[in-house]
Amino acid sequence: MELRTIPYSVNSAYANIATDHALLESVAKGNSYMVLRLYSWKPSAVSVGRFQKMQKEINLERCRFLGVDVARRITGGGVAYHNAEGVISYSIIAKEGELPEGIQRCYAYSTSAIRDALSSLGVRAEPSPINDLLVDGKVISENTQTRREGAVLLQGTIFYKVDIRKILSVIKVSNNEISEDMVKSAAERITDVQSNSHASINELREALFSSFTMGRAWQEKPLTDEEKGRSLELEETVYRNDEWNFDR
Amino acid sequence: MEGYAEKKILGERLVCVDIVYTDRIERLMITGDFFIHPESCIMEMEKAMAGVPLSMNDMELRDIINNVTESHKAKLIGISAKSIVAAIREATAKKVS
Repeated sequence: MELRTIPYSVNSAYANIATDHALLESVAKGNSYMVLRLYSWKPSAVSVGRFQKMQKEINLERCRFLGVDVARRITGGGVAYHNAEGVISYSIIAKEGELPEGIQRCYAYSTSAIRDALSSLGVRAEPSPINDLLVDGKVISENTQTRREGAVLLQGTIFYKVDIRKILSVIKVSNNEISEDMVKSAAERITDVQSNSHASINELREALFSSFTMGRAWQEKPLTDEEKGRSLELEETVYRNDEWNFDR
Repeated sequence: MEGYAEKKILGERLVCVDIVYTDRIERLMITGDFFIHPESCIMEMEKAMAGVPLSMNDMELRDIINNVTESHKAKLIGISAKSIVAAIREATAKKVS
């Protein structure tokens, strides 16, 4: 089955979320076949899941001070920190029939591809239901998905280089100062590629691309003018706005 | 009156409710790190619960939520009617200043 790959790009959180939404619409309408998009985030951003309360989860003052964008995803799940130049994210957008049936099988599909990519870099990771990928019990990748009009958006982030102090400072974990114990405890739950491999972030990106395209004919096709326009429209009218981001 | 409660049932994710109520639920907001497909189902549950008397038993409250779930053919991951109702009960049992 043919796969359309979108050239790798680095974007703001709002542009990334809007682009996925625009591509989801494009695939649902039959204007595009299955899409693979690899991307990063700049500036760094923290995103909440569709149903999380922004004020409860995020230290907004600290984000403003650090220049970290705050955004609400269209997908469920928990808070995710997208460190600029420290993570690679992917989105797969396809008609429901083009991916394994059911939510859990879709997670199995994407986490298996990430596991294989990491394995090629010497990192032994195992999928952990519902949506994570672990190395020695520590999270190295978080994944999520949504469905609209018969199309599926599978997305996730693979940590190349995590900054635990930064994560703890932008996410509301405690009203107190960040203690060494909190850093240690978080370090026992999160890991990254850099701590487990000598691979560069570009090698991680290439490994992910190879794994997700394995066994499929693929063709690079950038966003069409229509998709770009729709993405910009969604970014400006929805995803940059407080009405959406502070919806809950 | 207003209330807030968080519930995490074994095997599920965090389910929180903000509630405005008298002897009935006036307004309900369900938040947390769960997954539901389609996502709009949560807003439909919140609508369906507005105006519901709190004198209903847990089974009746769960039925209202389950009816929304079934009519949307929704898939719930990390959240259930049981955890939502448990959070509603807890939120309405204590006052939030």
